[in-house]
Amino acid sequence: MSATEAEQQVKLVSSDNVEIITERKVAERSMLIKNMIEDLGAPGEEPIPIMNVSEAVLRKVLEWCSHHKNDPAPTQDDDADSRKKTTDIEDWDQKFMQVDQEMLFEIILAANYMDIKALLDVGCKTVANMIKGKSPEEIRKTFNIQNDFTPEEEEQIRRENEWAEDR
Amino acid sequence: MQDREPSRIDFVEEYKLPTEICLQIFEHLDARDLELVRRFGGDWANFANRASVWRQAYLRKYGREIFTDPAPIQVGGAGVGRPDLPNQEWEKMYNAREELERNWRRGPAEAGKAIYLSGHTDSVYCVQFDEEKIITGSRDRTIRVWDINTFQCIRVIGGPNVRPALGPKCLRTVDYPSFHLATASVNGTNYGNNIYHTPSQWHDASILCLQYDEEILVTGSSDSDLLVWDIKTYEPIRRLKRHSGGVLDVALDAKHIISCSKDSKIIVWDRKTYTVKGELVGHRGPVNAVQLRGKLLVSASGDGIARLWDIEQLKLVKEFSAKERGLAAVEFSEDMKYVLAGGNDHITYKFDVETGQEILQYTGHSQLVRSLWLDSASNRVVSGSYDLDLRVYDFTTGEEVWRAEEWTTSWMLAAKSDYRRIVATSQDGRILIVDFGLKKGGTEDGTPIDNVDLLRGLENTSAITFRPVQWR
Repeated sequence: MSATEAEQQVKLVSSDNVEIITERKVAERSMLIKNMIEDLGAPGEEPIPIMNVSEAVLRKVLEWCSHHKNDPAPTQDDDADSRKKTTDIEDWDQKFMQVDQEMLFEIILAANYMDIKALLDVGCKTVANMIKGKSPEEIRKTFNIQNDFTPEEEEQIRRENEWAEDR
Repeated sequence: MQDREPSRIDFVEEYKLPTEICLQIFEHLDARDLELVRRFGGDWANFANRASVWRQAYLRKYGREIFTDPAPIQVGGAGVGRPDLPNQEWEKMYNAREELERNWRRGPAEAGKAIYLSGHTDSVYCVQFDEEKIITGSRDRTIRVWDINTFQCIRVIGGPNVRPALGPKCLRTVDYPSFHLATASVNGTNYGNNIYHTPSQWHDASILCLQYDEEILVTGSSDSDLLVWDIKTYEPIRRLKRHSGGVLDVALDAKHIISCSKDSKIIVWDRKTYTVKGELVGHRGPVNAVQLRGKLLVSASGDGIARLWDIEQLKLVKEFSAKERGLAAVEFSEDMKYVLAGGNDHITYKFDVETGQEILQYTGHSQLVRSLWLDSASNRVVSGSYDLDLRVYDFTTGEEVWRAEEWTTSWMLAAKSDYRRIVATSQDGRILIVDFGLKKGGTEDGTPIDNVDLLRGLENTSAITFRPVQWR
């Protein structure tokens, strides 16, 4: 992609029919959009529909893409195993992900749909970090997990978990 | 809408994120977390039970990370089973590995079964092993290949004049319940004579060092030469002559063979052409040990200095604070951040490569530290000493986690380890295997830890199966 191509404006349309104009380079963090532009040719003229993503979420996703627009392009053989080595998240991304859960899950779904692997990964790590090292009560509260346990079952789980943590 | 509670959504059962995304989240969780969330039942349990999720938890904790190209050679088993196969039982493997790790820290009375292999008729100077075999080299001028699963000697390689007669006689072993098994020497028997092989070339002096990978075995000898052997046939391929003194250690990877010698030199050989790429000169005493990581090499010398070299530019990079007494052994972490060196003052030193500073000491030995082994993936250091002891340390903290006191009758000369065992060699001519994968004491003495065999990288082995004593 040449410099002029990178600065081209592309027009995206959200599921609630709002047009958003952004730089091609930003939009192409999404492999979905990148492939569409390649297929359509002449970017900027035809608006690109992002069917499953609402305006609010799309703006948020593009904010992330804009911050990361100069990251190295994702490669095909990006080693999935090595990405799972750590749940460390860089500071900017951490702040970016400080949103309510509904938005967090929508960002994850959008990243999945729009094929932005790095954003999907940050989203999944963010959720994982809400579970890692926490007590069952904390996890249950965080995600409002319903359960039908009797108090006796609760007590048993508590004891077994103590044992689990102790190992 | 503005003052509503922050949303709290069960993304598994209520919001129903797609399965592949849930799994991607779960793949970041550790075993402890998985054991907790499976209690929530439903898909929480379903996802927390998936093999792919346990695979990640396992590999994150116990997988080996490769930092160099070429990769360092793999000694012993990797302890991750066969990651290429689908449907490995990763959760069982995880639990077996955790039990195994606890065993390494249980102390010699409760963990570490001793197995003795006899056959060499003099000091055994060097050893390497994998999950099929052990190869040893000795002052008796022979190389021996042993089956690590049946403990049988399967090949003896030496010149025509050093074939052993009957013996050696049995030596003292460590007492029950430490003791597990001792194989008798086959020297001088029909079987022993059958496995004796005199190739077209051999070392006419002690075999001091060896290293092998999937293709070649390289041995170094007091006869000042190195021999390169085909690891499949044990036939010699090439004799490397350049040193003017005994070859004390050898290191290899896919590109290089490095040898160091009593003549104070280190030679860098091309692995493919067997030509000399250069010499690293600077030590003012015999170079006792080397360890290779990509283009970096560390060496330890009788001059008391450990040196770091760049083998591509053939130049000295750094020296680690001189000790007053000689260094016998050296190790290099696979991430290349740390160097270990030990020797005549009985202490093993840990150096930070970046700063060159000594940052930790591994102590306890009362004689020369003759050999060092660092298992980077398991975070363990094993040292063997002239005080007859083996010690196992936590690499990070320096804490001694296990030790064998006088389990052989003479100096410990070499020791290497993997996820479940130590293989050590002694001046008394024996090989000592310490297996942490077997239970020790009680009615199940000598039986494997549950599922520990799932960690093996080979499906079928000739492993002897141990049966528990039948109690009526």
